[in-house]
Amino acid sequence: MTGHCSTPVSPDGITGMIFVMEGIRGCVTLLNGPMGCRFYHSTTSQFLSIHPMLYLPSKGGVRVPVDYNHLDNWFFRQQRVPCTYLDGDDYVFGSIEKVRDGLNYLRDNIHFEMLAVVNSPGASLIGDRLADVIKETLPGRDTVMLESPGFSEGFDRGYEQACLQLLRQICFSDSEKAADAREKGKVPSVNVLGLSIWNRYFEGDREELAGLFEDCGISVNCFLGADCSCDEIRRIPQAELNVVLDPDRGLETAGYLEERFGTPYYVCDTLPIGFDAVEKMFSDISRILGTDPVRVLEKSRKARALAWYKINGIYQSCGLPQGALFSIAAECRAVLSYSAFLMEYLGMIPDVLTVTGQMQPSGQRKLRELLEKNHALQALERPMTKTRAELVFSDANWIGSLMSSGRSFCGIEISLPGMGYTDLVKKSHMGITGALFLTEQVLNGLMTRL
Amino acid sequence: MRLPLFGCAFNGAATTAVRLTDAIVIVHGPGACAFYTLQNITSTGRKNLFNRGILMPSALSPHFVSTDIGPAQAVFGGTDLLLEKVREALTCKPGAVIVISSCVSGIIGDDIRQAQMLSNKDTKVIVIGADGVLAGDYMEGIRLCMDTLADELIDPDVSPEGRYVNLINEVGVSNQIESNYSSMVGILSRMDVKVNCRYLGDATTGQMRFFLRAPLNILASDSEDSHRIRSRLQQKYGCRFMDGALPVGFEDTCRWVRRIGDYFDRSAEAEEIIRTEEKIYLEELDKLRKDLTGKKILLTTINAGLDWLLEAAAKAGMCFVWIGVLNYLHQEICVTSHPEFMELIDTEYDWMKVREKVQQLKPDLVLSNYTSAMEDGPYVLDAIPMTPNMGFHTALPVLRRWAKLFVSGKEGSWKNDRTLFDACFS
Repeated sequence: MTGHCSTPVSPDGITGMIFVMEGIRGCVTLLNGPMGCRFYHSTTSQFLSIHPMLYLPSKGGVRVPVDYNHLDNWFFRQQRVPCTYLDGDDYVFGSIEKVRDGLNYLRDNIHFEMLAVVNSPGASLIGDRLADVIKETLPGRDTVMLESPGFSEGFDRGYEQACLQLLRQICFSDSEKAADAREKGKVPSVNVLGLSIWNRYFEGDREELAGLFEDCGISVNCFLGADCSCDEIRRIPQAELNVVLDPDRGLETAGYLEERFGTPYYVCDTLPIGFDAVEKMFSDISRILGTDPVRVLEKSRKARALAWYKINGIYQSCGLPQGALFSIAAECRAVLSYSAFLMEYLGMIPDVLTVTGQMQPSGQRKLRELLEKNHALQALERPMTKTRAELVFSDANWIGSLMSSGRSFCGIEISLPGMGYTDLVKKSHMGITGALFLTEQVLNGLMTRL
Repeated sequence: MRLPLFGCAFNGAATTAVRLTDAIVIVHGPGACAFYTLQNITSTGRKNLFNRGILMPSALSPHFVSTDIGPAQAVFGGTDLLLEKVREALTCKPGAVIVISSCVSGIIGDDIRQAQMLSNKDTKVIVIGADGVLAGDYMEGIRLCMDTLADELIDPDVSPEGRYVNLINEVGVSNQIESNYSSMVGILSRMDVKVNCRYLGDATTGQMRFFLRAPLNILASDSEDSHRIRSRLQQKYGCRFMDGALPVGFEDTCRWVRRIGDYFDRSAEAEEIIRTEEKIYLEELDKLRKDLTGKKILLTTINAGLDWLLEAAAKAGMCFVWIGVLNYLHQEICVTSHPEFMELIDTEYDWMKVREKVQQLKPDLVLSNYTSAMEDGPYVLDAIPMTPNMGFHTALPVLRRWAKLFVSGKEGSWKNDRTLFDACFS
């Protein structure tokens, strides 16, 4: 065979949808599809974030945990993402009865605050009217029906569609809908759109961003789909501003919220990766909300000072990281954000930049502008299999694949799947701590002179 | 009520097909199906690379292409898109192109057999109509793939020769695949026997074509599926099989090595191997007896062969007091072949009964497939390795671990913090 033959394989819309719903505390996500579509999501959801034990429906305020030895029906002994295990007959005769049985089981045996039903790609072709079944079975409960995960339209599309459907289908109370619910004199609050439990360092990113907002005198009302509660979602209209971290995942949602609740939104130029991006984001938002970013800027100054000392030590001995080649294979917004930090702050040079998933026009334009400015457009043309970079930033599939082809480099995980490392200490690539951690990974990954 | 199908045939077939290392696997479905399948394929490779620095090319970098059926194909059909991908793949001159269909391509009625027409003199295009879950579960997909690849690739005119064996039906996703294979090759090489083809571990289309060169075939696992494949190869090609599967534990491995030695006229070498390994085995058991002798074991397990563990524990002076077997498939009990252990087996039990037995029999060690199934108590609680390594010394690391657990008496105080978790995260 003449070389290696494969196409990049990225997560699809169904994965984006499921992980939005799994990012809501107290939500149970019922997958209407074959069990083959379930295992990855069940296992990964359990691995990615801390889910509390499942409880039986509360009776008289007494909470009894579910005995996992008996968690056979619909859950198949995995705690997350129960499934209707569709088979060939269901594709022919419909899935309504199975979905109804599943909903009855969940209603009677599992405590939940919200329930979402997500169709698999195959199930979406059946055409069952499941929304009616859900309303009949769970009247008065918060439920979300996600009819179609799309076909090969990418994680971000599924993520955004799930957010939009969630906000359209959930009940906001009248007082919460009113724009005047935003009381004057209170600490201003924001909703953060675009973060996902499927981010490589989601827990650390979330904590870091919440801390930086707090430093600016801003509270985070809701990290939508990123470990938020159902109550926080219901309070979404009360925020003064919606912050779109990643327009590919949150711009449509922000537009919807502006139209429905009159809430303005701010779109980050890049993900808040690197000192420059973080300082700009929090300065801009503080200006909009009339708060003071000085504590964030001071923290950033101190972090920059620390980073300078460590970078300078390596620079003195071997001239690095300046001029070190790096490659990235990731979604467009991540390629843009990491490249900006690595090129403009660390002075590194892009060797190969591969955009996976859907290429969004706005991100693509910004990426090309950045590369043109740095005379590095050719990095978009080279295949990743030819990389000569010292550092490759990507998911573990890309890193593993390149290593198995004999390339010698240090792989730095910026997206999932990971190699399998279990994180207990929260790490971040976003924010100021994130900029330090990323710098640390770069310095440790370089082959410096002994 | 129909039984649930675990996994889907598409995933099973694709996970198996990528082991044909010079073939390109084209999965005909939406990106979602390709994504789950690729994660399944690469999970072992990533973990081995990260934890042990082991490179497993077919599990890290499979020749894997997705047609990424989009909304247009879901409405108007995706056969043209598939044919375009097959033509592209053929330009790489692979050993074979294998096309596997998903639920969506099955439901919309794409005729993937059209891809076979693109076969050329160098490369065969093979189609596997898994249709996602329509053909069955994950295991059915593996069967479908194994049978199809054998039918399409094995040259029936090749005759057996030399001291070669084929290894049949290695388990698809397991950390042990490569270490077991290395152990087996190590033992075989001491008898000057070589592996001809792994059907289907990492193998090439060329090795599959010359599959019948090996005069003897060895099952990697003693499962229903392995037996089915054995029958099929016997009936279709007259293949000869060695009794049993890859051996696990000392006794089993001694028998296995003798059979190989007998078959290839290498009995003296076989006895020499056994003598060497027995000396190591007995010396190790001697060291462990002072910590293990007299300890009582209560065991609950699924219906899987555990003679490797039972024999070694008994040799180390331990005794089993009760064996609960969860026989959910209602098959013949295969946990042990020894009558003294058979009489301890109880297949009619639930977790309440296990707790009663623990109270009544006061074991020192409680073994289960999942430790979460039992509460902590005045005993050591441990999990049974579900996929043990092959070879003479399978049980020794397990026995050493128990000895250390008995001696240390440590359970880890983290276990007391469940209430903290509930308080913090409920």
